[in-house]
Amino acid sequence: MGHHKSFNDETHIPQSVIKRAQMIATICAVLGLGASFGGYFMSSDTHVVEQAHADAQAKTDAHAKTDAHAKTDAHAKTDAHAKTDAHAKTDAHADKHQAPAHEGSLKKQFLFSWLTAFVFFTTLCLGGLFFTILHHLVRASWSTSLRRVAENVAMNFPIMAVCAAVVALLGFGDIFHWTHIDPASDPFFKVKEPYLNTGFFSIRAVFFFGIWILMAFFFRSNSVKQDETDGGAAAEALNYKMRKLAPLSMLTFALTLTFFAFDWLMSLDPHWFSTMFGVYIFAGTAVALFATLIVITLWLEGNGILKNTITIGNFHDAGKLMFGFIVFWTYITFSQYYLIWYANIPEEIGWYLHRMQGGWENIGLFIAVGHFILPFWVVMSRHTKRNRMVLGVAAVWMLIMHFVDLYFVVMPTYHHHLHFHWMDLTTFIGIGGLFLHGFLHWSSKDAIVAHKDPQLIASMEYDNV
Amino acid sequence: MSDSNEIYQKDSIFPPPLVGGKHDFHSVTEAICGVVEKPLSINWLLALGFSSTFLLMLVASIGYLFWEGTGIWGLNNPVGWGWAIVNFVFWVGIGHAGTLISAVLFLFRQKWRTAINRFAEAMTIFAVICALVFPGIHVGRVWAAYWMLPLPNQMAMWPNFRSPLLWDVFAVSTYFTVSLLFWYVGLVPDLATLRDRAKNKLAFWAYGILSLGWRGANRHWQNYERAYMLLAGLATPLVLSVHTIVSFDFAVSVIPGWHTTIFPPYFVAGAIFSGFAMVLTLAVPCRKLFGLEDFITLRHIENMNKVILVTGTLVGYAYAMEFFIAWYSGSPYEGFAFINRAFGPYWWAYLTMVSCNVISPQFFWSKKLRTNLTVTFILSIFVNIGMWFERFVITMSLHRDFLPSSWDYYSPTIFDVSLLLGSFGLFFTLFILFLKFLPAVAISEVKGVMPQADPHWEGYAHKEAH
Repeated sequence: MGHHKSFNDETHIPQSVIKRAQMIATICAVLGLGASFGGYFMSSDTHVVEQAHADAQAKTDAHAKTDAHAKTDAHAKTDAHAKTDAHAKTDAHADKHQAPAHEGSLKKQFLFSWLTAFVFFTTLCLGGLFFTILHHLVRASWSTSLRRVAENVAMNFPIMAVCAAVVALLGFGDIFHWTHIDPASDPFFKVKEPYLNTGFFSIRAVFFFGIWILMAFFFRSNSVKQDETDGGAAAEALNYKMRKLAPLSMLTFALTLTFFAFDWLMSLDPHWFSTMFGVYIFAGTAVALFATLIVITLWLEGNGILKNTITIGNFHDAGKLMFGFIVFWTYITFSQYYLIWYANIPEEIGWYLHRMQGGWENIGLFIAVGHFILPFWVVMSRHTKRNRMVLGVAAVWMLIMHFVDLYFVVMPTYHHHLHFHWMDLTTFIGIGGLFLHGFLHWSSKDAIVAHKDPQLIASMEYDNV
Repeated sequence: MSDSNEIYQKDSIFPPPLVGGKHDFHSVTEAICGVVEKPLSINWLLALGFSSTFLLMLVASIGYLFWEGTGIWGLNNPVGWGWAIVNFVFWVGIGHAGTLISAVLFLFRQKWRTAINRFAEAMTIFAVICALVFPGIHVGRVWAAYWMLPLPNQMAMWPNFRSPLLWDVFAVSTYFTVSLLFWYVGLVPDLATLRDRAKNKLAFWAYGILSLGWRGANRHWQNYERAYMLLAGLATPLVLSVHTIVSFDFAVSVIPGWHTTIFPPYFVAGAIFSGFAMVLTLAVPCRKLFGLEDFITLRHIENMNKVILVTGTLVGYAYAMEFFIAWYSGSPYEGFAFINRAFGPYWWAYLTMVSCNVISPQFFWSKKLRTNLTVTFILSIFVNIGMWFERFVITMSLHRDFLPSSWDYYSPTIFDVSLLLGSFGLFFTLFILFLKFLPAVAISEVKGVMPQADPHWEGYAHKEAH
């Protein structure tokens, strides 16, 4: 080979850059979390949670009655609309029962906003983990220069575990309707009760976060160990070690992500089901992952870090993959919607009927345009993918759309009519601040690039001429 | 072969070379064109005779079918869709590996594709031809088969645009057209090579016309590369769309076991799975018989086995999701459909499917097994069997419908069997003809991934010039 490139960048982010970013992260976290928790604890409906727990028995009975009643109606009519009506009736009843505490309650709003933001940032971590495992699994070399960034993103799982615990401690039952369904009165729920119960759900949640934290630490710690080597046989040995565990990690990743999506998102409507749901959440995760990588590497480059290591070809490739997964997301999302819409059977259609009324249909259309049509035409061109400015804007846009997509999954279970709340923003900023802090912590601790990986030079030599 | 094997066994952080042995550009041309230029061998004629016997069986069976009608099949209520749809989906699925190798791997810059893309694409085209036979012959009044297309007519009769079967007509015919174009565009430079080397007039004229006046000029290559890139971009969504539409044939219904949202990606994964198995079933003996071991190396075989492992696992994931959700849904009909699949009268088909599709690829976790040619060949056949049975299992969801009094057991007739075997005859006849008359490996593309093609290669400076 003729002229080899060589690695000649600073390996670490300068402290000044870290400090500045940390300040922003702190401000976000303090303001966001302050406002959100402030809203939660200062809210006048103090009795909600206590009463929700204390009156659990009474409420369950009431619910059971309404449920049973409404269900019978719905079945007698065997009409999808009837079923939604039934749902609405049940919920209306619950509203009355909880009086001031339900719709418009800050506490419940907090929980749902928190859940959306928490799931959003968890999917970013999952994306980082996915990229790291995939890199080793397929023995890629082009992605070596981006590897450490993805590893650092995945290190935020402990923070996300704490965020999950907040949901569990402050109002698990307020979010997950199934916690107070009486199995005896609901034959559909009775079947899945062994799976959907608070105990098993919690065990699974602990298991998911535990295994993700383990995987993230395994890959990052071995990767960092490589920095200490001379880039020779010892560095290669570490690559082999990580490659060896990549297949098993990928299997674990796929199954845990699927059941995490079932548990934390699909079970919000305990009667709804879709075999594709795990793939759907994965598709959005993958889009968000490449958007995150693009945003972070642009930020690094903007601060003069890794200027000679990350090439325009790397951005082009990340942009191509983001484009590919935008199309994949559309394919999965459309197929899920289309099959359910076409068959139109009462078991499934309720979830979508819910989201096709009360103003939510506008969000659905917005997602179709913003998550597919617009980025499809913008990111398709080679020129836009090789233009840092346009690619950066597209990446930020995709992150916003990923949030909207998750919002569309979570929020209609609480607000039957489209209703934005300032808590949606504050919880997002608060958890985002924590997320950023975590990322900066790991990014300042060690080198920001796997500079002793023997494949790094190959990664730098790629360009799509 | 031993040479490339030795290189292969030395594991390195970077992959081994793509072309084994000690080849230069000229010897590559010699090796690949040699297959075409050698006089007909007795083995080739025997193989052609054998496969065309089965082809004859297909023709005879179709003739009898046209004469007698679809009553000669095992179809009845409640199983109104039998082997014809199973064979159709099976063959369309086989085609997917060719498109994935030629288009998707091209976009992913997977240079190892160059050795196998040519005959994988040929396989795609022949498989889609086999697939198209089945919807073509089962329409009953075969002389009206063209009514499947929305042609304006005086009676103002239109096909049902809301039916996935019509979407199939569009999807599969688009797929066939694009695959054929892609294959042909890639063939043009190699056809010109054969033209330039032709020893007799007939070959000279035939390859000359087909190579469209290719002279290897700079401008030709520029247009060629651009066309190839565009066709790869067009073919990539087709990998997903064709089998997605095929899955819609089942999934838009309200039949338990058919209507499930994971069907589209699950069918696509299954199609790639079965397609790669078929590529291996063909590649393992062909590389041996035609001396192509330096081009289709163990690295290629191993990579394909890895794809089989991945897609087999994806298929396993889909089976698991179907079962989990069938239970989780709480719907007694969904639950029954799946219990019946595994433990009902067709338990043997389900068992065959799971053991061939989910268990057999697991052997490929071992590097030793996935670089073993015999194991690869045997397992690839298992996967082919398993994927045929998967479509059979899905179709047989019909045999116990909502009304127990109409439940029945479906059995194929001799004509179902002869059509399936005959379609293999058609497939192999076309493939054997292809091997003899067209270059089975893309000559110009293989040269492009050799170290000599790198502008910075310094080999000739150190060695004697060839």
